[in-house]
Amino acid sequence: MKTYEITYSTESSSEPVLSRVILETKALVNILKADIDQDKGVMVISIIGSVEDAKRVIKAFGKYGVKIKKIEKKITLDRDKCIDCGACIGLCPVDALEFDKKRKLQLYEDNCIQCKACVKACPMNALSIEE
Amino acid sequence: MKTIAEINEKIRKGKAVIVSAEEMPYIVEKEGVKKAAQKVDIVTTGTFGAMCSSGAFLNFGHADPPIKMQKIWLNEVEAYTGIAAVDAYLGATELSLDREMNYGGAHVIEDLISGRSVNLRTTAYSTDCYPRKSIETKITLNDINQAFLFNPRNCYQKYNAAANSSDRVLHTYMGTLLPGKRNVNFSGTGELSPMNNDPDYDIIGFGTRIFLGGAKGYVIGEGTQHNPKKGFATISVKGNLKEMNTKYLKAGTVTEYGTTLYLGIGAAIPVLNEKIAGNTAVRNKDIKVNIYDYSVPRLSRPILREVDYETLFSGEVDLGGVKAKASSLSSLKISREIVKELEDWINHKEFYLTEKLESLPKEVEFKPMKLSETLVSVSRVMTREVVTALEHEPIEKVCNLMIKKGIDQIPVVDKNNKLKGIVTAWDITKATASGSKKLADIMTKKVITASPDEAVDAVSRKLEKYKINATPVVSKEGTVVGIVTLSDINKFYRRSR
Repeated sequence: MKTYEITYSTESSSEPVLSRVILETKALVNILKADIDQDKGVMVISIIGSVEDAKRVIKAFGKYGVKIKKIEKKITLDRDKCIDCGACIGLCPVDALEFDKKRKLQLYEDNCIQCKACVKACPMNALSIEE
Repeated sequence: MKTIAEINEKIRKGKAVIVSAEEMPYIVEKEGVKKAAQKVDIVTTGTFGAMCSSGAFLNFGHADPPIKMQKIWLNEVEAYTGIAAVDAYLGATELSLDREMNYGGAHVIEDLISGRSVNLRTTAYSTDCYPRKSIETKITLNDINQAFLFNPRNCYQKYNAAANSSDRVLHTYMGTLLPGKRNVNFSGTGELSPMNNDPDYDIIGFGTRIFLGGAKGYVIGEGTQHNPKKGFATISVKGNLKEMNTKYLKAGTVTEYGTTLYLGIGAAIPVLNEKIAGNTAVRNKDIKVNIYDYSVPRLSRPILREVDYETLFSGEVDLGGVKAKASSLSSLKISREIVKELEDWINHKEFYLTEKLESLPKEVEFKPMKLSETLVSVSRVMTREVVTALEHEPIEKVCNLMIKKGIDQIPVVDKNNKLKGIVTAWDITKATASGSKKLADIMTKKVITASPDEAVDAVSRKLEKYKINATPVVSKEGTVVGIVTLSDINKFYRRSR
C-alpha cells in the first residue's frame, strides 16, 4: 500500500481541499490517520489505484497548496528481541503483523501505516519506527 | 502400568519414547488410550509467558567491615532485605527509581543472567557486629554467592482472557485492550501447558523436577492463589539463576502497567497408566476460559463469553457480532522450543523424572481480600444539584452561568436530561477566539463519565488518566444524576484518613 503524508497550511485548512481533490481526480483515498488542530493539519492517506491515479492526486494536492509526500519511514522488527508472543497482532489495524504457520511473527512492512500501536504495546521493545 | 523408576531406566538405556503434548492427542485418537499408554513413556509440556509473581533470592556475601543491609537497590530497583544481613529478595514487578516502567526487577534478573554488571547501593543502621552504614559497588552474577529464582506463583493452568467494551483504550496487565471489544488478549499455551496435562495433579507436585528458565528447577509447592476447584492451579518454583539462559527468561514491560518476567517452564509427564495417557491427550478445544470485560474496574468483572483455546489460537473471536482479533501474550513458538529442549535433555540423559513428595492441594479456596470498610461508590461523594445547559443555548448564557456559579465545566443535556456533551471554560475561550456561537459546536461530545455505583478510587483514576477536573455521573438510562469533581474526591480522601 502506498501511503502519503499530507500537510495543510493554516491558509489551506479552511478549504475542503481533500473533497475537491477526490471530486476532481475521482481517486479512492483512504484516511488512515488525521491529526488536526489550530496550528497544523497532518493526515496519513493511502491512494487506492494505479500509479497514474496517485500522480494525479499528488498534482491536485499541490495545486491547492497542500504538501504531500510519500512515507518512506519503515517499521523494523528486531528479531533478537522478539519472543513471537503476538501481543502486537491484535492491535494492528491493517494486518501488517501476522503469525506464519509455525507461530513465528511476520512483519509486512508495506502494509504498515506507522500508527505505532504495536511499538507501544511490544513488551520486549522489539518494534520501532525511525523518526 | 509403569513406574517412574522404570521410565528412568528406559531413559538411562536411551529407550524412552517421548512425544510432545501437541502430538499426544493424535496418538491417542489413532491408537486408543490403552495402546498409547503402553507405547508412550513421556509427554513433554511447556509454556512461555509473563509471570509477574517471580523474583530472586540473592546473597551478596559479607563486606569488610560488615554491614547489615537495611535498604538495597540494584540498578536503582529496590529489593527486600529484611532477611538477615546480606540476603535480599528482588521482585520482578518492582520498578526502578530512575527509569520507572522501562526497567524493573525483571530487568535486573535478566541483566545478571546475561553477565552484565549491576550497581548495588545499600544503606543500614550500624551495630557493634555490623558497623558499616552504606556501600555502593558493582556486582555480577559470578561475584555473588547464591542466586535463586524463587517464584511464589507461576504456570497458571489456564488464564481468563480479556476484552474491553468501553469506548476508550485500556492498558492492563492483559495488555492493550481496544475499545468496542475489538481485540481479545489471552495467556497460556492451552494443550501444551504443563498443568493442563495433569489436571488431577497426579504427577506435578512438591519436589517435581522441571525445566525452569533454561535450567533444571523444582516445584516447591502449590503457588499462591492456587485455585484447584475452578481449574486454575498454580505452582511455586525454585531454580538456580546461575544456570539459566536469557533465551527462556526475559524482562518485559507491559504498557502503562509495569515490568514483568517472561519465563519458560516445562514439565515431563511420565505416562504411568491409561488415565494419564488420557489426560495428556487434552486438546485446545477442550480447554475453556471466560473472556472478561476489563472496562469494569472491579474485582468481579462481567463475563462476555466462554471460549476455548482452539478459537483463541485461530486469531479471531466472535464477541456478539464483533469479530475481535485474538492475540496471545504467551509465546507458543518459544513454548515449543522448550518442549523440544526438554526432550533433548532426556535423550541426552541429562534429565530424569522425579516422584512427587506430596500432592498439590485440591480443596483450598482462593478468597478475596477482607476489607474493614465497605466500598464507597461515587454516588456518595458527588454533587447532586448539577448545573446543566441545553444544546441550543447561546454561549454567552453558559458563560454567565459559569461565572455566577463559580464552576468551570457544564454538562450539556437534552430536554430529558440525557447527556449530550460537556463544555469547559477553555472550550468557551476557544469559541470566543474562533467566533463560534452554538454550544453544540464547541462542546466535547465524547464525554468521560462515571456511573453512580462506580468506586471512588476508579473514578479518581479516570480523572487522573484523562487529566480532567470533573466527570458527570450518568445513570444507566443516560441521564445526568450528578457531577463529581477532583475536589469532591480529595475531600472524601481527606475525611477517610
